[in-house]
Amino acid sequence: MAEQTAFGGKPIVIALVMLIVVGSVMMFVVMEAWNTINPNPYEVPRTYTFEGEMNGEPCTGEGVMTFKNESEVWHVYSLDYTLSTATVSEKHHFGVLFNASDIPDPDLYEYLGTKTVEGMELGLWKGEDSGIGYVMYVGDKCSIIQLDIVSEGLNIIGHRVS
Amino acid sequence: MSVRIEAQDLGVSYGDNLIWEHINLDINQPGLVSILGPNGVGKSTFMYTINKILEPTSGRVLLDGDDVMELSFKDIAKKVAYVPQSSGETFAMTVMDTVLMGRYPHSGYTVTKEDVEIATDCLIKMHMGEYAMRNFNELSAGQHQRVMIARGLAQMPELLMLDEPTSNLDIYHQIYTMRLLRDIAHERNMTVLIICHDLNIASRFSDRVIIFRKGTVYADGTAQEVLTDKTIYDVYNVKADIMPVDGRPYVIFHADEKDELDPDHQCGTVEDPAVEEIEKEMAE
Amino acid sequence: MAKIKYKTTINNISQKLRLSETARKHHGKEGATEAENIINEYRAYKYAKALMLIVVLFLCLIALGVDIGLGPYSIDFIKVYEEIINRFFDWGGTLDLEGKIVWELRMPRVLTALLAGLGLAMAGSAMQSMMKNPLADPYTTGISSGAALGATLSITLGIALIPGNFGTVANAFVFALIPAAFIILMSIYRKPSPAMIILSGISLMYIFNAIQSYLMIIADPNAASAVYNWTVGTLNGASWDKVPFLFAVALLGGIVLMYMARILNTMNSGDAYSKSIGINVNRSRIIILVTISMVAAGIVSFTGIIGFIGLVGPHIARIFVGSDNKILIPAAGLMGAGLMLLADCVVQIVAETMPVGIITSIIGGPIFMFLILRQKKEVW
Repeated sequence: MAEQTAFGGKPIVIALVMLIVVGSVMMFVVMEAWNTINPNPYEVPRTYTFEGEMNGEPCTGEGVMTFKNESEVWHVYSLDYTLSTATVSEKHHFGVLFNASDIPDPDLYEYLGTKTVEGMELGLWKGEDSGIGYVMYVGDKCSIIQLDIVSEGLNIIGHRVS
Repeated sequence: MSVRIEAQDLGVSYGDNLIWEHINLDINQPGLVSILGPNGVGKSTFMYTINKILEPTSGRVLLDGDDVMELSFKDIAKKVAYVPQSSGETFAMTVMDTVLMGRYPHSGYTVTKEDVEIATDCLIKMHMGEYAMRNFNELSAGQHQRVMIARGLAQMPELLMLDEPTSNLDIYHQIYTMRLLRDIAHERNMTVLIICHDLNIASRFSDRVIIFRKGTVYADGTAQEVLTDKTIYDVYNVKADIMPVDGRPYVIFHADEKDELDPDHQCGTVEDPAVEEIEKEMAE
Repeated sequence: MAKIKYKTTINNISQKLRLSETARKHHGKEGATEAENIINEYRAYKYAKALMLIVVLFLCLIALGVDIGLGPYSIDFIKVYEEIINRFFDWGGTLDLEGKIVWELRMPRVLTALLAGLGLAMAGSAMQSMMKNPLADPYTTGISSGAALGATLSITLGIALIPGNFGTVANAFVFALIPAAFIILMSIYRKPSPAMIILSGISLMYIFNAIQSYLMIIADPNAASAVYNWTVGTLNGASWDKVPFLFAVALLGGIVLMYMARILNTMNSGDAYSKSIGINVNRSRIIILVTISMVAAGIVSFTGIIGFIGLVGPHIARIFVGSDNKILIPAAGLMGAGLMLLADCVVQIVAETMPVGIITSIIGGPIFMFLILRQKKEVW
């Protein structure tokens, strides 16, 4: 019955479809490779180091902020970081949403003004996540150059290192 | 109720090819009317002019006195139903839905309860009642034909036109269909116009026979009047004897071995194959 | 021997049934004549088809429910539904981050997927009916290459018919209609054969592709990458300000196509027959082609060229509801919507950065292959 199809046979149809599937996968692979070679500044992961005091004790930490591809119009980032003192180690999460104009969504964050840091003019925005307050120093292309963690017992400053 | 069809000085050309002209016909009696003639003579073309599928290049066609060119397709559809030549194409709709197509000129976008009742009625008359919910593509050729006729009848027409309704049926079903069509014409007092190839079948059941030949109407009248051995020879170039059976002429063909038969013989108009092609294309 | 016995038993049984039928007819006791039986059967049949449609709708809703819960930013399923329900009760209320993500980003994405699938599959279904060809899809008239060229012009060179956010969309839409206009103009003069339509689409495709390739070469890498993303079909650009347009396109297109459904059914029997029952065949054909083109162009200009939905959606729907366009067109639409949502689910689970068009090819290709290999000629 398959021989009666207009294509002249099962094998050819199967081959063509496999070609389409393989081609699609290849396209995706090429695009990913392309993105690795030409990274999109919005989408590269950002690493942070933290320094400060937690409950009176000196504290350091590090974390990675990854781009969450919910949309290309608004940018969503998710920062997972750990803070360690001599005695304790805590994991925290901070999510942030930038709107179409590349600023943190004014509905969620409070604008505090601008500040010049190392020659760059950065916007200051205040927000909170899971009970912890943050002040973001925002530069171009949704880059958070500096992140101040301000909360009960926490007085920490984070810098983007990459 | 039967509709009066008049062709007045009717002529049709496909581009530069003249098919026929100066055709004058008056069909004003109900009954089964057969149109005969060789291939390519323009029989289907004639049917196309009656329901405006084709526009004539000269003359006009009148339906109950109205020029067809001034009527809308919908108005014509309420009086004239057309059953195309069987194309072997099938579709995956139920028989009932197929017959309901014929109700379009009366009910437009929606299918009303009345539509379903009329369609059911037509199916039962065609003895296809028990197949109503079957898929159209599961039926045999003979059953296809009956569904198509039911579809035509569902239009509640005054004129039913069928293009070669018996061409792909076996002999039993040819006779069955012709008898059915004749009975429909008589019971409903309407005109049933068919294109037929088989002279004897046409002779047996028709009330009137019209023969086309080389661009004109060669003969028009009862089967007895029209089907003579002279006619057969003039129109088809074949020798035959006529034997009356039950008052109807029966054509018995001679196939004399001595006779030279020309493979490229054309009985119709000069552009034989072109006409057939075009008529087919129009139907698509 | 056994075979003959089997046959005679069947014959006996059917004879008995027929006799009882005639007995019923004669007695008229139960009052149900053959005609009434048929009418009732037909009504039952119609209800069954409607039920099938509801089943397809249900599947679509399930896909919708799952898809909205999925996304790169991890949010609990329950939280997602909470946000949605809360929003319904408190429209003007403030949202937190997760609420914003669900409402501003995911809802438009999911709605775009749904509406795109709806529109493409309805258009595809009408196209297949009209061309009497199960391989037709809404892009057959060549709109995909036109849309791609328009989008490329906007993304790489910034040349757009209207500035701003909708620049690419407007470009893609207008350019998409060029091949369609070509064919529609042809149809006015002479009924285009399937060969003519396909060749016209292909020739324009080559010309447009050539221009597009040149633009890609001279463009900067990020723009070129953005063009690739767009061309393959993506939901990433979805936002609330775009959703109303998609909604309008899908709704209006759907209404027109459903209105023409009965005409589409009849056109299957041939032009001559269709004219004979009062259908203006040329005008109908143009209306349908224009509608299909507008719907497909309208969707594609927002999402890029998503393949296989318009081709496979109708085929699967046909399995559920048959070929009557009155039911097939909406069913195909729902099926297309479901497929799009499913594809988006796969994207969110497997590779969040993958444009949805790649998944529709990867899923759609084998589905299509399976469908046509099992196809008997009569299915069409």
